[in-house]
This record gives sequence, C-alpha cells and structure tokens, in this order.
Amino acid sequence: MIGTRQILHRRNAIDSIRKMTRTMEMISTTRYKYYYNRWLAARDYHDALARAGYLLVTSPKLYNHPLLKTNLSGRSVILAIGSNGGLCGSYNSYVYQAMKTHISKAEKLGKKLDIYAPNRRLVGLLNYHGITPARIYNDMDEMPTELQIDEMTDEIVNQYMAGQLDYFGIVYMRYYSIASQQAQTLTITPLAELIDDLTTRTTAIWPWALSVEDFYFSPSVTEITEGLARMIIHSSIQSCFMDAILSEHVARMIAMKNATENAEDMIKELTAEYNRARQNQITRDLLDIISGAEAIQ
Amino acid sequence: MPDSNETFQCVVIAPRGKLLDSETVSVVFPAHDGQVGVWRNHMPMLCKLGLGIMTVEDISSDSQLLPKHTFLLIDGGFAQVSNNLLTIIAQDAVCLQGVETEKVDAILKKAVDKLASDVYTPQQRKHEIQKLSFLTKLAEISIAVKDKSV
Repeated sequence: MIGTRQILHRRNAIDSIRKMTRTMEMISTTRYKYYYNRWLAARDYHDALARAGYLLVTSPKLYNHPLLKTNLSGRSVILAIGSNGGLCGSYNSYVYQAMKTHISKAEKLGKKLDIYAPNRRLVGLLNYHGITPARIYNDMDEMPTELQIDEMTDEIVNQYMAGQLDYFGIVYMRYYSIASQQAQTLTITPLAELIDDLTTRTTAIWPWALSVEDFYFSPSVTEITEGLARMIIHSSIQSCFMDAILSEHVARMIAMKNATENAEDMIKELTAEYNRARQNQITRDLLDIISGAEAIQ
Repeated sequence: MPDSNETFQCVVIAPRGKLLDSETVSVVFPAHDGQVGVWRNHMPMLCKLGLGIMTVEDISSDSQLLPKHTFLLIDGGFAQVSNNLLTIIAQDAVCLQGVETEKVDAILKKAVDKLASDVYTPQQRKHEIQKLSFLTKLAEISIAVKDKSV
C-alpha cells in the first residue's frame, strides 16, 4: 500500500505540471490574440491583391506570360509548415497526412518531389517516416521575416519563369475560426490556380463591369503582372505562416486546457486517496494505543 | 466643402491593415516613374508604385485657400483606379498624423537602428536610406500640421 508521504509527493508533482500547463495555455491564449488581430487586419490587403490578380488572369493578352503557362520539368516542391513547438495535440500528424497525398501522387506520376520545411517539429516526424527534406530553413522564427519571405518568393518566381519548377504548394493548417482549422494545400504556382483559390476566399471577385482592355497600365501589363505576382505570392506565403501559427496556438490552448483539467482531476483523486490513507493510519495508530493500554491492564 | 460630384473614394491598404478610407477631392501618389495626380472621373488605371509621400486632400476643410491634407509614406505596391475608387495596395505604408511626438521619435530611432545593423544587402540599404529620408520628412510635416492645428 502507498504511504501518505508518497501520495503527497505525487500530488505535488502533478500540481507543478498543472501550473506549467496552465501557464502554457495562458501564453498561447495571449499569442493567439496577438496573431488573430494581425490576421484580421491583413484580410483587406489579401482581398485587394486577389481582386487585382483576378483582373490580370482573365486577360487574353497574358496567356503566354511565363508565370501563367504550364511547365513540364517534372519537378514539384512542397513547403510543409509544422508546429513551432510540441504539446499541441495531433497538429503535425494532420499536416503529415495532407503531405502524404502529394508524396503518393508524385510517386504515381514518376515526378520529383522536393520537400522544404522550417526546422520545426515536423522535420523529426518526417525523418521518422524516412523522408528527408530537400531544404530545411534553420533560422526561421514563429513568423518568418519580410526578407526571408522575399527570398523565398524570388526563388519560386525565378525558378518557375526559368521552367525549372512545375508546381509549388504550401501544406499548412488553415485557420477558419477558433473552432475550425484544417490541414490543406495552397497552390502557389501555377499562378492562375493561386488566384483562382484566393478569389474564392474573398468576399467579392471583381465588382465592376470593367475588363483589362479598359485599363491604362503603367508600366506595361507584362511588368505589372510580374510585380503583382510577386506581391500575391509574398502575401500568400505570409498568410499561410500566419494561419499555421494561429492554428498551432489554438491546438496548444486546447491540449493544455485538457491537460490542466486532467491534472486537476488527478489532484482531486490523490487528495481523496491521501485523506483515506491518513485516516487509516490514524485509526491504526489509535488501535495500537488502545490495544497496548488494554494489554498493560 | 465640395459637393459629392467632385469627390471620389480613396482607400490605402497595407499588410498591417487599412490605413485610410475616405472621400477626397484630389490625391497625389508616388508612382514608379514620378508623381501621379488623381481627380474624380479618372480613367481606369493600374499603376506600379514607387517610394515617396502621398497626399490626400481632406474634404472636411472649409477653406479653399488652405485645404487640409493627409500625408502618408508609400513604399512600393500598386494603385488601382476604377469607378471613382482609388485603391492603394502598398507593400509598406506609414501615416504619422495624430501620432504622439514621442512615438514618432521611437519610430525614427527604430528605423535608424535597423539601418545601422547588418540585416540589409547594399542594394536594400540604399533603398532604406532613401526611405528614412522620406520618413523624416513625413515626421516633420506631421509635427508642423500638429503645431498649426494647436
């Protein structure tokens, strides 16, 4: 039978864990609020870019633009955004499940698939499944800096325009609301697919009865398309990272809330067990004293 | 105050949110090849932006001689004009009007410190130096506007 001292030790240990999980829940709640405000503020920007992009992809003048044509190099790239830290439930497993469809599709079609990933928890999971990422971004924070996203955008656009890349997609946890997040892929290139996806997310596609022919472009429409494409790709990468971090904090908040509740339940059970053990010990001691006194008489 | 058939809507959107959404009479913004002025009934246009200060005339001003203006620093992006709506989709935009002087100082100090660090490539540094000079100019304008209103 466990003694009262051991029960007390265990209860104290669980109490420390409870404090830790509670603190982590609070940290994630604060961070979630911070990122949520940024996410909300950036929505107008993404919508405005998507509308301008929609105007361009519907232009018959741009069918031969290198960013809108289909490449046949046989190489695809997936950027997988996993969680920044642990203790966030099945977050990385969901991202991995979404990645598996790309891996099996590439195998079936005999295409080369490169996986890029920030140096986070997901890399460990990928290594466990025998997948080695082609590139690991080592110096990335929770949110990558503007310069890091600029570099990423330049690389994608330059490779796509040079015909070295067929497809670039980002696998991440998309944030819909605090109650709903889902692992999804956002196609970045071909650009037409990205704009198609983005316009379905915006509130209005193109609210005016104007087409490309009615517009005056400065500089030329080709140059505008490239510049706008870079901005759209940049903002899409940023919004994917933002969604991923928001979803991660939601997942951690839920996981830590459950852990705190479980710890509280365990503390209650251990307190009851401790009181029972203490009572038994007192009864035993009293019986010893009474029987000892009776023996003396 | 101008009547509604002289005005149009101007919206400035940056990655950090919407900075301005107002009715205006005239706007001058920095395009990639110089300043561009926009009035009501401007033809539909999609224009690449450069670095510079954007001026939006405030319609609430009663004086014809001394109209009130809103000044913003714009760094790259696109301007879209259609159906009497000017949308500035800026890569970076700053508005210092109504911001406390201490906060303006802090913004300038942060920009100077960042420039002193080694995060930028030589080409980016050149651009950032230019941006800082516009930011200083914008801060001076904002303080002058504030003093005038006091």
